[in-house]
Amino acid sequence: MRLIRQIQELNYEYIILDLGAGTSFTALDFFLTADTGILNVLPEPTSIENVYRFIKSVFFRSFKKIARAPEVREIIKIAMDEKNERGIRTPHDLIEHVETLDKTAGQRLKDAVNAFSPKLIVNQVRSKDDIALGFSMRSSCSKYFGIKIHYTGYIEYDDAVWKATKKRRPLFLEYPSCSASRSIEKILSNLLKKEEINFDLVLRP
Amino acid sequence: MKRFTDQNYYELLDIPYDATQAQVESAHALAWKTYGPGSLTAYPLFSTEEQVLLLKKIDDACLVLRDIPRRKEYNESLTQADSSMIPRMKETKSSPPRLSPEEILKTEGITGAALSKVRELRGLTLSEIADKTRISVTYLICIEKEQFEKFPPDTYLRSYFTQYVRALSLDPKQVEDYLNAYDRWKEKKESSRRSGI
Repeated sequence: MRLIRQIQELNYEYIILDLGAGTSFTALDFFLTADTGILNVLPEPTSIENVYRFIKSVFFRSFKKIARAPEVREIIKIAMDEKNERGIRTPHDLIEHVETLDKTAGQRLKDAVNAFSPKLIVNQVRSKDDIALGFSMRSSCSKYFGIKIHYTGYIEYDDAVWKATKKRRPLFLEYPSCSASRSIEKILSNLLKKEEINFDLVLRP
Repeated sequence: MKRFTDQNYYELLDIPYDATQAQVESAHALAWKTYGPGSLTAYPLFSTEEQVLLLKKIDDACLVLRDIPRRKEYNESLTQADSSMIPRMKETKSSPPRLSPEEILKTEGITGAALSKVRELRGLTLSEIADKTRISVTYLICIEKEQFEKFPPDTYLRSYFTQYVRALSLDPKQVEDYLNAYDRWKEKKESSRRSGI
């Protein structure tokens, strides 16, 4: 927490933290305190599963921070164990359980859910189906977690990326007009304007 | 934050209450991609039974929302059950939802009538387009009414058509079908002329 506070006190316009795929408490806390949390996913089962796992971990981490009463914290701990015997499978179950114990805590958890809106980027897109993945994940997260994910953009698969890496040069400087660079510019624009990918424009048959 | 079993048809499809019919269809297609067999995004969160149930509910939702009178009835039932819905659903009660140019062209095909509707959607009159493109209003009317027999010679037609389409802020490639239809009409005319009909 001290590190987070010190980062917040730094005098820069933009601070970007690359957290990697881990779910350590540090990573989760950084994600929660950031003004904007961005999730990256590849159009592959393992990556999708990792992102969901990360979201679940962030969720429960934020719930634990909100809950004060020991019984509520206990329920959250039980819920995090997927094989738990109380049948607490989804965030809905958890919030319902908590509400029976402590209505105020339940409401605060609901407020936390409503406030949580990370951005999603799909990386290494090769087809329209890959692009559609972002919308599918947005829908699944909405129905399972009750959260609203913003589908900020996608990056087309591009050989220029590994070529730039091999040259040990930044992509934007080495290949500024390759499709990956252009995709990233679009994402940047969406982030600044707080916009999302438009389903109708992108996935028209 | 509702379980999907408690969501109304619009919430299930994740569409606004004033969604167009095209948006309903797109949402339906996306739902099958998301929760249907072969999906990569649903299995980590939902069991197979839940996915099947969700798809069934989404299909039911689509059946109603696709059908305009049934959709209207459903909207009324929502507001009757919960009056706080009324402000949220206001748009569906007033004028029919505005289609985008793409939706117009998709539902009506690339016809002169559809192009005319796109022009009206853009708020442009024929004389405004005539001024902008220097194409006479007569020819613009021919394009919109598909009066192929009155079209200018081929050398001008493509250029006129492309300029007209650009004035509507459309991509000429999107509307090539119109010129294909004209080519087919011409061929038919040629072949019937040759066989002396």
